[in-house]
Amino acid sequence: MTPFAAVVLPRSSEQPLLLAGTSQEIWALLDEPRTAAELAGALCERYEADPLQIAADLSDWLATLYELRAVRTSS
Amino acid sequence: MTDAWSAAVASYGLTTRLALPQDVLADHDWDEVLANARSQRLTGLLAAAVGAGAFPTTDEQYEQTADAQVAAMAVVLRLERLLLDVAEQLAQAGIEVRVLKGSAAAHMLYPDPALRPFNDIDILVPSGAFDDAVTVIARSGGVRQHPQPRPGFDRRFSKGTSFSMPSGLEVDLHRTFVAGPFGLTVQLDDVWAASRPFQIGGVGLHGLDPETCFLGLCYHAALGEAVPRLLPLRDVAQIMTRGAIDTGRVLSLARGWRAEAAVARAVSTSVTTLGLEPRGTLAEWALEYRADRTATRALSAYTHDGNAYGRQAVAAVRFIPGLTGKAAYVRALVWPDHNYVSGRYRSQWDRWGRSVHAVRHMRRDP
Repeated sequence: MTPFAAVVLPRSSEQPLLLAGTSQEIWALLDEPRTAAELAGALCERYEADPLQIAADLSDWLATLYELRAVRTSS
Repeated sequence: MTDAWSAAVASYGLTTRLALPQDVLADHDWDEVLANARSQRLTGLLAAAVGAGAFPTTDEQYEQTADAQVAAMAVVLRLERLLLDVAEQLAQAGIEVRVLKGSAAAHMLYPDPALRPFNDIDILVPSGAFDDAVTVIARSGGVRQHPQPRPGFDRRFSKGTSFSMPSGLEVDLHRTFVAGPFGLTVQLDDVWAASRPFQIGGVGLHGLDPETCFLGLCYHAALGEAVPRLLPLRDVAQIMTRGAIDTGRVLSLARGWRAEAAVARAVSTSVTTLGLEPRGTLAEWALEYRADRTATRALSAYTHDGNAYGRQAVAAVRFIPGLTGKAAYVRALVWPDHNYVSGRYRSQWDRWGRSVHAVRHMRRDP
């Protein structure tokens, strides 16, 4: 994590991902394992935005990072 | 002035007399500071200072800092993936590993590993397992940058060897900390007696215990280059100012390893270059330390510009125990394998010239 962005090297890739702005904040929240609902809740508190919109955007974001094997689910 | 600002960047976060610029730098000064940060791997500390507003910048300078640090971290992540792969392969071969320098320092000494970029990986293996470790890394596609003079030379006399990996990254495989005389007097049993665990990406690795880690960082800072570089000096300051080491044990190990001159040089240069208050037993000891003639000669093999390898190889003769050992060492350098000669020396004459120096030293030191 840098002051400007998080640099992540997904398992499936030789190319690092650059996560800046809100993506960097979500990445920082994932320092501890959290459910998607917990993440969405934390973001709703921070941004006071429409929970449904946040949940939808977050779902896309998580799907992308999961596909790249930058995040994983725990049982 | 830019050198002073670079030193201030290197000491960012420590209690120091050095000051960062009060105002935004003119472009030509900024370009030098940024180039220094890149070449001396200070982008993590520069990014922290800029990010916290302690180093004022224009928007463009801010962006350049971010780009430099992101680029450095991209390399670090690839190196750490390689480190995990190599460590796993060595573990599968039953070879114990300690992580040295960059990655270990970043994770064990700094509050955020991003503060401490690095550009290769350094691992230590036991001397007895050195040849096996070479085989394991070569099996993964690693190509030795230099062959050893003769079979068995590395595990007995050398610092280690470096590999270029298929990814273009570099692995430094060590059996001791430095080449030359100071590397030969390290008591490796002390080094392997304890370790300190840390994690990368949830995977457990082992670094050195705090005092041997400190000594390893002192060797790197004091002997790595003729003029000590800022980041190794910061590493020394980082561990020293955290108070995480037992000074009595450090000094006892330094005496036992005949490393006092190197430790004193690292600590005193760190204190003066980074503008630290010379407080504490270790700093006071280092500033008052005076090397004897033998230590001064050993140190001079590292602190003069030009052909450091040759000078260290010759100076090492004095520190190899016993005539048999000295003879084996000199024989390997005088009559090395063909591959070694063609890779390292310009000509047979060049090699013979160095060998004659080595033989003279052997005669002088029974």
